[in-house]
Parts: sequence; structure tokens; C-alpha cells
Amino acid sequence: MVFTTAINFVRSKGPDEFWRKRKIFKIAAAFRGRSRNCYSLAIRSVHRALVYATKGRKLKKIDMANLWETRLQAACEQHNIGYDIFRESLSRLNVMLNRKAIVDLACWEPYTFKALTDVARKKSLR
Amino acid sequence: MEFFDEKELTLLTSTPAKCNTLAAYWDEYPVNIWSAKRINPDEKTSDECDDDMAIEIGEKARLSLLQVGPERAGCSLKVKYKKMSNHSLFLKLAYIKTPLQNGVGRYVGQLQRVVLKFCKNNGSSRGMREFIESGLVNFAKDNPGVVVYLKPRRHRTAIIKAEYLNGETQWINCRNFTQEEIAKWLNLLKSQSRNTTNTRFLKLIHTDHPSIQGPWTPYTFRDPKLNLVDFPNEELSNPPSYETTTHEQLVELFKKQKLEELDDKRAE
Repeated sequence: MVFTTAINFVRSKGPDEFWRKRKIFKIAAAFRGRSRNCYSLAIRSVHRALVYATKGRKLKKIDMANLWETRLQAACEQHNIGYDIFRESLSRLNVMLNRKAIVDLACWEPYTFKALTDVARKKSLR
Repeated sequence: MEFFDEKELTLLTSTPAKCNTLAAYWDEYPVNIWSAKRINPDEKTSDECDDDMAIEIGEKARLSLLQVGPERAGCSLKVKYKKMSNHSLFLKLAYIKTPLQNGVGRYVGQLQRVVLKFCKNNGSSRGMREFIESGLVNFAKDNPGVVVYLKPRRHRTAIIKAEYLNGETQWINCRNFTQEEIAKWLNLLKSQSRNTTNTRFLKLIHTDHPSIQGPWTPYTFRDPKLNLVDFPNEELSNPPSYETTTHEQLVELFKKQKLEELDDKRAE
């Protein structure tokens, strides 16, 4: 006899639960305490973590921009040129270096940056 | 300069049938041949730098390939890239590569077919309709290897669906695109070899020495006399004086005078 209805009484959500949860546990692997081992806690932490990650992408750009500003201000100050004058002179000379590039030079190639300030100073005096 | 001896060549060529050419070998095991080391870290000669680096690159490439070669023989390895941070959890990491050295000899476009779905009436498909009227025929003529299908579907947004030779598909929502934008996206699809939306591309650029002039320190632009100064120093503790000396004042007066003379001449 084949009982085809009995099987319908088994309430199973599906065969893929292990892998669904594994996707979450992979992200929660480095979390603290029960959040890395218990699914219902982990899923909450993971959702928050992902939200923070999305928000953080925008914030990172803002933070980096601020960092470059600060560094450029400091570097210009060391070479006795105003930040605004420096940027304006460079743009008038068609030197299209953005803040990131200039700050990289100022940090890793300080003499090149000094040369840039000299060039900008000469342009501003003319 | 020869990069490989006969021995090394035989080593490299004695790999399984999958990697018949050096290019295939490097494709399987991408090696960082761009990291250059200074031979003598004490001598900082910028003139000779390039030659030394060139030699070092060759050496390093040889050595690293030699290291990889014998281990590789007889085992199937897949190079795994350890992810460093959390931010690309859902993107797989990969170096950029082509299938079967496409382009080294012959280039075969990897785009197989393209389906343009659009609505005949809705305004969001306007750009798509314009593109179909103007630029589509040229696109099809220029790319005889790509099959273009048009599917007018009512009450649905405009879509480009691309299928590649490796079987992967990619679809781009073209709602409210202009015809130029659609043309640009089609060009991108044409030049791709697979769907790249799920990959984060790693860079082949690497350097162990990011600075040639030496990185900035607080002492880079300071007077070296400070090395011989005993702190606390009264002179240096005082604020800097910006008063000009009498000599400088005289020079300034002279220059002013000259300018005034010039102005008078111009006025006349």
C-alpha cells in the first residue's frame, strides 16, 4: 500500500535551511559571544552590521576628504603658502591634481610637493 | 637580458596539458612580478634605480615561477584569494583575465547574444526605441558575431539582456536611458568576456617601496642645525620675528620706486 497523503502531514520548511543559515554564520564568524553561534541572535547582528557597512561607505568618502584637506592645509603651512592660493595657482596653471594625488605626493614625495608649492608661489606673485 | 635558462624553460613547459604556453601558466597562477626590491637598501641612487629594479623583477619572476613550477606538477590547484576585510563579502575576488588567451593571437568577441526588451508605448522606453531606430542596425553590422533579438513587451521597462559564450547572463535595466547611454552600455557588454557585476577586481600593481624621495618626516624640511642644538634653547623658544631687515626694506623701496617709474611711463 502506498500512503500518499501521510507525507503531507510532515511540516518541513525545506531542505536548504543549513545553507541559508550558513550564509549568515559566515558573516557573523568574528562576532562576539552567542551572536556567532545562535542563528536568531546572529541574524540580528548581521543585519545591523550590513546596515552599518552601507552607511559607512558614504562616511568613508567624507572622512577621507576631510583627512586630505587637513593634510594639505598642514603641508601648505609648512611651506609658507596659503592653502587657497596654492590650489588656485595650480588650477590656473592647469595642473589638474586632485587633493588625493597632491596629498600622496606630500606624504611620499615631499620634495616634489615642495616644488609644486614653489611653482604655485611664483604663479601667485605674477 | 635572458629571463629564463633552458632548465627553467623545461621546468615551465613540463606542466600538465592544461597549461601549454607560458601565458596559460601565468594565467593559472598569477604571480606578482611587479614587486621590486632594492638590491642594496643603503644605497639610494635614483639614477641606477630603474636598471636595478628591472633586474630584480626578472630575478623575482624567475624565482617565484621556479618555486611554483615543481609543486604544481601532478596536482590540481585552485588559487584562493583570502579576503582581507568585510566590505566585499558578496563579491568574489579575482584578477582580471581573459578566457584562453583571447586576443594574444586571434580575438573572439565573447558576447553571444543580446536581447533588447522595450515597451512600444511607455515613455521610459523612449531612449531604447530611439536607439533601435537609429543605432541598432549599425551595432548589428559592426558585430556580426552577436545575435540581436528585439522583444517588444507591453507595460514592462526597457532591458538589455546579454548572454556570453561561457553561458553567463547579465541584464541591465534601461529605464529612462538615452540612446547614447544604451549604446555605451552595449559597447561595454561587447568588450566584456563575462558578467563582472559579482566580482571585485584585484590590482596587479604592488610595491614594497611606495616612496622614492623618502617619506615625509617632521625633520624633512627642518634645518639640520637642529641636530646639534641642546634643548631647551632660549633663542628657538622665542616666537619667530617677521620684521624685515633694513637691507630688505631698502630693496623693497627700490623695487617700489621702479614700479612707480614704469607706471608713469605707461601713463604718458
